[in-house]
Amino acid sequence: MQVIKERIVIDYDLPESAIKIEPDTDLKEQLATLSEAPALIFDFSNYEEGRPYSQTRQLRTRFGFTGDIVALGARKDNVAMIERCGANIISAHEKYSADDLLPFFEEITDYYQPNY
Amino acid sequence: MYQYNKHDQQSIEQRAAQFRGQVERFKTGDIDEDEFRALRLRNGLYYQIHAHMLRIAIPYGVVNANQMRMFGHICRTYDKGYGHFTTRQNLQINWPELEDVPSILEELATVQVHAIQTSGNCIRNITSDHLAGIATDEIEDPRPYCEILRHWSTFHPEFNWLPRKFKFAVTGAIEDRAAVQWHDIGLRLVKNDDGEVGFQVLVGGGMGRTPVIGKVICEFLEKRYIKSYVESILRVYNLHGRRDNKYKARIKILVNAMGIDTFRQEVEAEWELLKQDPSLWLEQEEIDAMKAQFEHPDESPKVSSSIEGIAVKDNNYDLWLSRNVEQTHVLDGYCATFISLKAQGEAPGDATSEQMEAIADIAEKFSRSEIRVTHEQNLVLPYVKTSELYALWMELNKHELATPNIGTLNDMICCPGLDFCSLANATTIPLAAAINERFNDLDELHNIGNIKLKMSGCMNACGHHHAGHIGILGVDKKGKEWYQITLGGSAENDSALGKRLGPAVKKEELVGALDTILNVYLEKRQQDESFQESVNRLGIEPFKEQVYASH
Repeated sequence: MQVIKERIVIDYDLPESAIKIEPDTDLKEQLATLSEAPALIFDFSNYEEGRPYSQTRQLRTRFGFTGDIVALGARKDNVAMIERCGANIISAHEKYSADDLLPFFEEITDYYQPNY
Repeated sequence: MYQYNKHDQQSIEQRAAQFRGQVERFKTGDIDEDEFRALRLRNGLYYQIHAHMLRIAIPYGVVNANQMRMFGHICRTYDKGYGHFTTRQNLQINWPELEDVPSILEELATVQVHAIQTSGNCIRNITSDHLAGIATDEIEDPRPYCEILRHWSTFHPEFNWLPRKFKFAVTGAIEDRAAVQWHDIGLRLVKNDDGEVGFQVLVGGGMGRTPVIGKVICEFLEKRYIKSYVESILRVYNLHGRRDNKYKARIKILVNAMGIDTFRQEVEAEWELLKQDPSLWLEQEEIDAMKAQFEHPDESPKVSSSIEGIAVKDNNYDLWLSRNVEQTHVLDGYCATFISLKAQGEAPGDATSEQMEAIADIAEKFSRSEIRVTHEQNLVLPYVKTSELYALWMELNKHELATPNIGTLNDMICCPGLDFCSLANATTIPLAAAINERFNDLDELHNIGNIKLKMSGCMNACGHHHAGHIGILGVDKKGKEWYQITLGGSAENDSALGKRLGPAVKKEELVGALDTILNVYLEKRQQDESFQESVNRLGIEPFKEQVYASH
């Protein structure tokens, strides 16, 4: 599939052993399994579902996850937030192409949260 | 007051441009109705019964003369010539056209004003004490911390899609004028036994359908950790707050369900790591730099005069002095002056464009160009020279801004109600007018004395009825408007939830019921006892008996 990685559109194959994380998954409980996975998948297509933002952030900071964090369903108005919270592989919502999203990373260029 | 640096300015300009793009994409169908709803809400734009409503942020209620003048211009150019100051110290305009909103935001940005996060399920405008920085009972000025938290919360990527809205209030004073116990997070600047100043952190307070008074989650938090600590609270809430039912989604429900001790453990588990992140530390240098933005005017009055020293023989002026002027002030020769937005016949909190422009001119002339918005929907001129009070009063009078009713029954908090709001069950503004009309005798009002009447048109409690000494809640009974009365609520240090008097009364009986309640008070009060003190001493029974006996 076509995804955005480091703000460039590339072809990406989801590793077969990638694990899909649900919004109510308790990361702490499953940490041993999750930390072995090459990629974890989060679905952002439910626009108002805010938990994946905290989950990805927790994985990158508190749990030190270094594999791919794959975000599915990104749109123009949340793609920058998804990236800031720790996803490094971003796949667009079905109504957009990855290229459609590229201009929207920099609508706001200066943020108040240096830790994100 | 705080002046934007070039980054602050750039980010609100970019946000206005971003919103223009979102409106255009909505028009072309690139984003659908539901997406646009979520996006416009995060920029303060609602769609109400008849039209759009735009809520403009006034961070911690501090506004300068140029900004107030711009509000007047915006209300005249894009609306119907008036605006409404809210209980969150913001300004709402009720009739803007969607197509005009990007231009409104661009014009607001020229005076360092925006509508960012004034609605939606995100961190909202942070409110504070309207006497911040000038009150004599202050441990420390809360405004620098409000601004630091405004920065921290603005465009926070993790907390833009919370289970529900999230409100902070901060106070630095002994007397709580910011209702911190009624907020999702309430922060109180306190001194510990070693004389250090830090924060007492309260969590899970709120009004709405399930009124809850906030609980202490941390007795004393070092200032250095304020950002990491609130970030931890927000993360636990974002992950665990209920999302299946919007009436159960506020943090107060989560804190009650988990219990404050378990909730605290979860927060501290997150905080363990976050507190080690230096980018989240609030260092003394940053505090000092921010404090410098809020320094007092250096100019002291040449002649310091007391209020008693000004010999003016005018009863109306005397009345205004006694009601609308706060004489204690950290600077000698200064006082704070309230502008009542509760004039007879006006909707509580409303001001016209002409009044806003007059207030801007008056603030420039009399109050170092500064104005505050109170959560009780009035304005304050924070730096008035005592020697200029009479001249100020004359000026305010010209614009019908000298109504001497601060703290009285007519100084009520009132939501917009059924006339403007699609959630309301009942009208509030016409009732406020009816109450004003019944109690229009100033002698009677002053005899009744200090009393907080708060009225909401539905159980969402935007009019803070739970916290009113007298609370009025509009309810719908088979298509008819009825009103539930509560007594004894408070939003101050003695914060309490009002007690229900009995069955709801009909619309046409409400003013009579109030009359009865106040008569019971006047008959039974002891010496200087206030209404609230009488209710606390007597309980609600004597009031109940009379109200339901006569109706």
